[in-house]
Amino acid sequence: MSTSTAPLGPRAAELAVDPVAYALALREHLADNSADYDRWRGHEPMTVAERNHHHAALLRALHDDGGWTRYGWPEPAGLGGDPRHRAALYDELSSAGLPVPDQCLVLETLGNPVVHFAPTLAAEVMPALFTGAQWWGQGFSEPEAGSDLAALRCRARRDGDHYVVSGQKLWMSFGATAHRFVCLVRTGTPEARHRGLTMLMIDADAPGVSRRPVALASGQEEVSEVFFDDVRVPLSRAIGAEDQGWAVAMYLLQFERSMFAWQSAGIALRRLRDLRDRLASSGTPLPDGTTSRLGSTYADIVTLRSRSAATIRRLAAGDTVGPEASVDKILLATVETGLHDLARDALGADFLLADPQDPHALDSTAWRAEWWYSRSSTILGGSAEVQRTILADHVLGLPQESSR
Amino acid sequence: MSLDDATVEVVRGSLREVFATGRPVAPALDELGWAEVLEEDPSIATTVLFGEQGRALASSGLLADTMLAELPGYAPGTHTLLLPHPRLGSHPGPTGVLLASTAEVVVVPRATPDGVVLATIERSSLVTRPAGGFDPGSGWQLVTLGAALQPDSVPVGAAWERAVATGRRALAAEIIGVCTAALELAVTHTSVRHQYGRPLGSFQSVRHQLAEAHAALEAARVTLDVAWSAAEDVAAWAATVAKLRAGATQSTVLRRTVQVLGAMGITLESDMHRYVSRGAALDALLGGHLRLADEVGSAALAGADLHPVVTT
Repeated sequence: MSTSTAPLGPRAAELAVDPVAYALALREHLADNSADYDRWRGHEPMTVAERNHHHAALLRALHDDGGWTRYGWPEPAGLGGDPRHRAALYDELSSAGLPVPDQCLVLETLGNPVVHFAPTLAAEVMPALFTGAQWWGQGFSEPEAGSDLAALRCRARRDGDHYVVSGQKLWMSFGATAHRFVCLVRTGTPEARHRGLTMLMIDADAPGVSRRPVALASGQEEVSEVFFDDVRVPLSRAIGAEDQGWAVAMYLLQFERSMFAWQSAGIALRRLRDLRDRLASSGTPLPDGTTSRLGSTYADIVTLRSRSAATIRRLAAGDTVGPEASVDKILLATVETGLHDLARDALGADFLLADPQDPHALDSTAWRAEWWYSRSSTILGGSAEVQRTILADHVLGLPQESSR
Repeated sequence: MSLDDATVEVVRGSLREVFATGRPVAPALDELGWAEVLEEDPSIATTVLFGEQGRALASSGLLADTMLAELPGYAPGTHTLLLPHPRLGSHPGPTGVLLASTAEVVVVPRATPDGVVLATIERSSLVTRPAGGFDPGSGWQLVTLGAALQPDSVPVGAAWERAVATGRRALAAEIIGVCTAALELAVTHTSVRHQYGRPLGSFQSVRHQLAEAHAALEAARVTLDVAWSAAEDVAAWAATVAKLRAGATQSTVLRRTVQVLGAMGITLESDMHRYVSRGAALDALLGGHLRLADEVGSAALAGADLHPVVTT
């Protein structure tokens, strides 16, 4: 078990209980050491794997000079505090023109259930996340279980003090480089649907694991398919009780729908500033409607920030966030699709024709890849249709669809 | 100070009753001791007051009164404010709108190279005509100002921007009230009305349209909350965004609620048409959502800070 020995500032105890003081101290740190962080500004590496490692180095830098990545997570791995600390980290990075590390997108989804349902395991595996030495992938979807998650078939059977896992997972973000996977697997019968599932942490280098990157239409290998062939997983790697995986997944969704949205809003505001700067200095007339879409997109981002901040404050206060979080998810998708459609339309021919090999066209190439990725905002983590059905059922209380 | 939830519900109930009776709002508010409620928690008080006015589709001079409170020296009841004509956004010009108010003295804003100046004029000396049009129930009067006017003009400086921001927050709350009532009507209708042997609200297309309306409404609510709590240096900007959001929300919500009511939604027999026209009228005051999007976008292209506005 590794315990961090990196130096913390003299105010660590104070910052751990005060998210606002933490945010200000971090802002000061990033400003005072701005030049040290310059290597993460500007254009990102071309491949997803390279970008993952580039971002891991940013986590390391943040960790080693003040332990900034450990706030907001419980001790002993973390330094204490609440989700507002983490929200401040992502926000300050975006404000400073830095990326939110890829690893944090997954950490916010998977870290919370591990801390909550498996504190002993958390103490063992989380320090490596805060230093950027390791990161995780989320294994939920399967070829035959997308929106209908409870239909999943990847099987775990007990064998002594181990589970033996067989099956496959699909659409795992950063699955090609992740060190561990957090997977929802079937321990009950298929007929038990969501009642027969268990959440397991599986090491990527365990015998019987193989993976295949899947390229998105941009050519970027953002996701992977992972195969499990009789992979042995210690019982101690269960997150939550056996057959209680659905409850763990629902717990996790609260953070996925708020913190992921908050991170994305910060990133979106940084990218909107980039786009604005480029359009303002382009010297050519902008396509019709660009100005007003720029204004609406900015307003959409402020709205998303307002909503996810409110949800994060509820989580920090210990409230449970229920089906109403589908609103957060819809607002996130509005921002992602709106921003990237604006970039595509406003950049016009550059977006369409920029040569990926041209070092002067990196910005257009990046927008193109991000445009394809933005299309996932209405699909991943519950499709747009699923979110609307949740609101219709559980918030508006409309009559049930008769076919279900 | 802030009002606790139980008090807010009591206040909301009293206001709903006042608006339901249709009697003049200003004296009824005095009876309720409104000044104290407002002082205790201006954000919740204003949001609830205008939300209830919107829900009831009531017309009053409250918006002008609320804006005048930011412009020292004028007394609601005695004075009312001439609002900029919808085609002028928030910029005072030679035409304007008087709200349903009985005040005898009208405070008239004018744009000058040195900022907005105010003058007062007797209502009886103004040339007015009722604004019928899309929302016949608005109670508005359209005013065209004569050439020789206002020798007593006084500059108001930044107070005008504060008054506009206050007006935009109030209008956002009223639009939210209108849309909330329209969505409730649509949910009720689609839950009880059957076609093809099942409730309309069990068809996925209907369910999803109303879910989108709900999300848009929640978006407007939370953006307004943030506008009320924004730091002073960004308060006017946040109020603009809140008004833009509410205006866009009425467009989204009412398009869907009209559709799911079928032909009933476009008749005089259902109240839906009143929500539609009131939503459009309120959107148009102090800058409609399309105009505000254009203004924000222009400011951004001119180098304005794309402020994050909210933190956790």
